[in-house]
Amino acid sequence: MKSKVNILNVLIYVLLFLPLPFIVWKLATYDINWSRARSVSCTQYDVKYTFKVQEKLSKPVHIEFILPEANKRQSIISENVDSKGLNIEISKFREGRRIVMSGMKQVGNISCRFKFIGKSQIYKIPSELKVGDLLHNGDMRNFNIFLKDHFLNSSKSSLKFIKHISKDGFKTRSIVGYDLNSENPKQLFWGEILINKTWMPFCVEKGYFAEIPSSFLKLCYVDMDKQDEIPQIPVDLEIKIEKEKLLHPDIIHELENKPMNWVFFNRLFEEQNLPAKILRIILLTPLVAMIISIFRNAIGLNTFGLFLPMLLAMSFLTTGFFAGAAMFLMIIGLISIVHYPLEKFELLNLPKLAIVLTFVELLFLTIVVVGAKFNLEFIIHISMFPVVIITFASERFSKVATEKNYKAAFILTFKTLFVAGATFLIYNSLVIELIFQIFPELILSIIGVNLILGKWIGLRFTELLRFKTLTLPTE
Amino acid sequence: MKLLDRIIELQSRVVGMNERNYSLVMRHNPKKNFYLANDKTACKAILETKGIPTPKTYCVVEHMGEMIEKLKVINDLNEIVIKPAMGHGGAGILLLKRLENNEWHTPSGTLYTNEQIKMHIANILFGRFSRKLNDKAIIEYLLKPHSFFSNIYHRGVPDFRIILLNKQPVLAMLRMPTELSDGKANLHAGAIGLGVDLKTGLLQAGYCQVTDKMVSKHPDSLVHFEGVKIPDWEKTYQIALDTANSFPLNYLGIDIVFDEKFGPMVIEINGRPGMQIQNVTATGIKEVINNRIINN
Repeated sequence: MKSKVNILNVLIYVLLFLPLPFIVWKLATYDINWSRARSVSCTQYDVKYTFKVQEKLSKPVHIEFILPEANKRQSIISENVDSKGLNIEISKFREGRRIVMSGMKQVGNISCRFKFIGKSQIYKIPSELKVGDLLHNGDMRNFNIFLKDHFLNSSKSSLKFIKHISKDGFKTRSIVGYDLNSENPKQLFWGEILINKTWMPFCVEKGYFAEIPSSFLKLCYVDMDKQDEIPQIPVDLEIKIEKEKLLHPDIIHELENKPMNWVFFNRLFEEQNLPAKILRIILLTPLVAMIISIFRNAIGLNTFGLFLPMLLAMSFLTTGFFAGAAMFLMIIGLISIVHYPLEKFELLNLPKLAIVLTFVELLFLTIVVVGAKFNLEFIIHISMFPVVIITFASERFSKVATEKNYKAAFILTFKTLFVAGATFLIYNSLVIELIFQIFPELILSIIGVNLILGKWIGLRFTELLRFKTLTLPTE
Repeated sequence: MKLLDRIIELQSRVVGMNERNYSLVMRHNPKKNFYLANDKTACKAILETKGIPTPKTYCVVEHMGEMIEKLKVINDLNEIVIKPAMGHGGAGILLLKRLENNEWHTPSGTLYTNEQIKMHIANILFGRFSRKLNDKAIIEYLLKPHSFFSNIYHRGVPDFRIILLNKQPVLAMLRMPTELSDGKANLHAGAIGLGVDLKTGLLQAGYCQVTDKMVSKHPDSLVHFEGVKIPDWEKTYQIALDTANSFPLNYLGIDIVFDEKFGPMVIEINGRPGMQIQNVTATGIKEVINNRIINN
């Protein structure tokens, strides 16, 4: 009996401290530029063009549009054009690509999809250049005010600005593109001025001066001097954008060549077309499970089921925390409203839960209808709330409401939500993911901590409060 | 520092959930014997063979098919209890008294026809109260609390909970229903717990979990109970000892009701009794165990 405990103790120490030398060794040899740590993440935009062609079937159609080209600043991956059998011609077109589709209209929508990651860049304007002069004031801070005063009152103010500057002898051009961060992306124009053989971007509408944010997608340029025509967006084009936070490709690239880490999983997942989110969930689940066992065994926060908070946090990654939490509370509210009379009718568990679930699914359909009617994007996301969670939650809620009371069930709901929020913060963190990719040996330490927790028999934090009267002096 | 001292002191006296699960339940109650605590029919079988008083079982319904045949027993009875064999927390327990028109009524006045009784038994068999699909319905003698208890409060069935470790009584309390608990002897429903001095059988101060307050008289009847001696406590104590000695479980919570006619009777045993008794008796379980070691 005694030797058994000793083996366990040795195992705990080994697991806890084994990763340490590896971590030290990696820190010493990796030679990573830690100042870059601030930008471990980037946003990947999944852009989808859909053409809702009005022509009848078997009528000739002609579609022309511009696709962006990859360059140093913008990476375009997983491009996929579904022409539904139309002829496609692709040609270089002013630093972009012009796509021309023609043929007979077929069944289904023509679509085109690609993933875009941009870099933000800040350019340095040579001090000898008196750009300030043309702004009547050398102070850059007043630039925005100047622009607002002079150009912002009209549409396409960047174009006016470019015209204004080109009068002063600078070579300029306009850029056609999108700001993918805006809610409903419309074609956006910004200007570029050639300074020291570099095209420097200026966007008056969004207030960027010799600077470009990572969300700007460049399609092509328009040279005003040459009287270039501005490419028109096809009227039946619909653009949908989905954002996803990812580890920055540069960092992945840099770490991939270093020994003994799990950064290669990123490329593996990308090649297999698996979402990066899945990798994060897999890598961080040991940590999250440990946190949940700490919440329960050391702090004493009970939840619906042991790992329901974890499942909730996973679904919050799709819905967002607040929308997801609101949805969860709505579902619990509905479950309790439906559950109460059924409990009074004294129904058996399974048929009772079947009715509860039916009502929850009806709620879902209602939400989707409302979301579609008022065009509320986030509501459609909510409807992806996994059924498994709802099934689980309603079962647990009903158990507690039956065996104890509704108050206890509601308190438990909020505790569950609290723990889910805490675990969501972990699941949502790219920095923590990167730490586990660089130091996967930390998983051993997590097992060690769980072994300690499994043998820890101290009072939980909530029990200190529960038994507090016992420490008060008796008489 | 004072706070830390209090935490350390608490830790040395009180058993929490982690320690209960690890040091008391896992170490003292073998998994293979746990069914004795979970299944009331198995528990009662042992009690009956050992001659320990327990409410008489009129019949046990195990399948839907035998219900009508077995329910013939109740034709000659006027007072019965119907309970699930594997329920817990008092769920699904029905106390029934016969009215003159052959209907039944519960203490709270709800009427039950024979058909509704069959429905309730069907619910038990389908696992509505235990979430197990092989549950059984027990029909047994309806206990009437001794006048000592009904004088403190007239509603419900108060019961003793005695915790024993290695066949030695550790702590005891009396659970007394209140208006708040709606006549249930459930601490988390609002019943009050009264500490019982194991040696003398004197009632100590009471504790209400829901309001987190100590009380010395019953909140509804205002009957003062602190320091009052329980009748026949020695007998109750002996029954607890006998029960513990009859089961291959070494950490037990034994529930005993003092019946008007038959005296103390074991109604069920619990292999995983809760820790709230420490608040009720204002005594930690570890404190009792440690003192006992020192005294021996």
